[in-house]
Amino acid sequence: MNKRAFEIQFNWLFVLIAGAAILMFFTVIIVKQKGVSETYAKSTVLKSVESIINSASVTTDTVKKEEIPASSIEIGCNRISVGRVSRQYQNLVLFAPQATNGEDIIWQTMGFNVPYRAANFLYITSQQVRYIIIGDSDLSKEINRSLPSELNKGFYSASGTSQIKNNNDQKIRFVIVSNARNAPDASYLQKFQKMKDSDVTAIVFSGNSEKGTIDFYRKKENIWEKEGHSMYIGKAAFIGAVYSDSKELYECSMKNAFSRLRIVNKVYIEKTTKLKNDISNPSCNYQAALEELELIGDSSILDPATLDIGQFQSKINNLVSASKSLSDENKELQRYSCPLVY
Amino acid sequence: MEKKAQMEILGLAIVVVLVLIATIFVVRFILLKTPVNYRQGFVSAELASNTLNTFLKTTAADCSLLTMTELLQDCAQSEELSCRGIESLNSCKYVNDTMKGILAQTLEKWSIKYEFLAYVESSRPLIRLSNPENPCPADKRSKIFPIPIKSGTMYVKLGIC
Amino acid sequence: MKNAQIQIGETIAVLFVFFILITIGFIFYSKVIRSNIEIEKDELSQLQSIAAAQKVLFMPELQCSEENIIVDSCIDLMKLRALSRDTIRKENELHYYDLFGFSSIEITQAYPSQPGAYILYSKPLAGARSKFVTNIPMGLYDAADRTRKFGILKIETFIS
Repeated sequence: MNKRAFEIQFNWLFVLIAGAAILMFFTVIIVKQKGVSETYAKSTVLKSVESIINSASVTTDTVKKEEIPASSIEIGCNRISVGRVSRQYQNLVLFAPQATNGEDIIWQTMGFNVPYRAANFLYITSQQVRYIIIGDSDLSKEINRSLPSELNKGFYSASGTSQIKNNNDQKIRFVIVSNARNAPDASYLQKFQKMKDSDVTAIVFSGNSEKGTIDFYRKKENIWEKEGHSMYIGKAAFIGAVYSDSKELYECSMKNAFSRLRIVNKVYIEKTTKLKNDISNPSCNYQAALEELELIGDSSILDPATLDIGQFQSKINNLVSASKSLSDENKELQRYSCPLVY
Repeated sequence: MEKKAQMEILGLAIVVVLVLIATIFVVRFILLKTPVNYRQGFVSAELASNTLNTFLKTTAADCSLLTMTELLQDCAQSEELSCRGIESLNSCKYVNDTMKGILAQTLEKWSIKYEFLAYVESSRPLIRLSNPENPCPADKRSKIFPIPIKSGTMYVKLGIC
Repeated sequence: MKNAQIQIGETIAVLFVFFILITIGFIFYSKVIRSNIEIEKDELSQLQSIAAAQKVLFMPELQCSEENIIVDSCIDLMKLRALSRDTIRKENELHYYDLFGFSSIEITQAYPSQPGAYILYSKPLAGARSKFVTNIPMGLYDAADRTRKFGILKIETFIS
């Protein structure tokens, strides 16, 4: 009887140990496989974003909404990551919130013209971000018109901000156009007090559609905390500032855009020099265009983050002025049926 | 005792059969999956269109800076133009020789079979170039460009096998 | 006792064989996954080759334009000559690596026939397993005499 009892107990013990070993083995396999599948899903999302970036370089003035697997896309300076999967770039021109969550991506492209096409700007966001545009000026109306209808946006006059309601959005971005360059009104935050500080940001524009200054703000409990200020040149840049919820990301993309501008500008200088030497028609004056191109090259800012506001402003002013003059010179060449610079 | 052993063996046999069926499915749908050829599809679809589009806008080197489209229009209408190069050529011959040279450096060099036609009526083409003589009569990707002429429309067609 | 020992031995043997079968199955599965990854890598390289072709045709530093209105399937010859000059090409190599990766891009003029090629970008991959070659005809516009020539864009994408 003892022997039998001993046998039964030992059998059960053996069953327990062997069973546990088998279960653990399969559990390890399943957990590893789950990790691999998650990484695969994230890399699929990253591939979608990469293909959007590729599309942006060949299309302009395009808006599209795409469905993606639910994921959190983090965008940094020259870097995009989805979880632990990330991709580095040398010169990424992308304006977007630092983190985009959800099951959809809305992307828009716009040409950066100074005055010739230097780059295509790509903007990415999602329906989870709500854009509240406040202002009465032409610039505020232009911003509202330029942002696509697919976006979760609302337009309010400066006196109508009491109509702004909390719609339980994940993120809020206030876009305020005000020549006074004052901080946004703290009363805007009243309805969004319970939201995380990092999810409520504001940008204050001061200027016109050609150039101006931008001030970046972030919610800090009940008040607005200033993150910094920068400048914009042209419509593509001020729309970029609307999409970027951080000054660092905006300036990083602008630095890359200016880097592209320098490359394109060098090519135009060579082309214009060749035209000047080859075209004998005295009505075709390429010297003036060449001078404007040289000025554009000199004014292409190396790194907005390293310049003080005075230097930045001076370069932007030169760029706008040279861009306008080059555009006039090109039209003049067209009038005389000369080969155009651009 | 015998029956128990037989039952065990039958059980093992069933397991083996199930594993075999699963292996067949894996081999059929995963191992033997043909890879998708994106590039071939893109290139085939775009090649005829790009080649023809580019050719029609090309400027004739020694023919008063006329484009190939204008020369083809003349070829279909009055054949009044002549191009001066090494020898005097009428517009039809000039376009024929130019396209032949271009196709020799492009589609023929890439071992692609083609048929190029320029016609007002498809039964009587003004220009016909093909490699080989009768390339794929059925399976072709073609692009047709219509060109307006005084008496109606002429067509330029490039078919790639 | 001996019966019990035989029973235990039998059970252990069954478990041992079971784990060996699982291991064999796992090796087979990982081989299948590896070959799938190779296929996906090839497909990705093909897509990269097509993307590179599209990007070249839409680069502002090469595109033909009239007062900023883009002309399709056309490259400005003067811009091409400027961009393919050795000094400028080497300067921009790092910048273009983002766009083109390990590939080689050149443009030749087929009509009027001209020897040589304009090399836009060249970064071959040492020890590449194979390469895709994509040829695309496109126009070359010479602004000086306002003529359009027949060009061929050739892109070689290297696969590791």
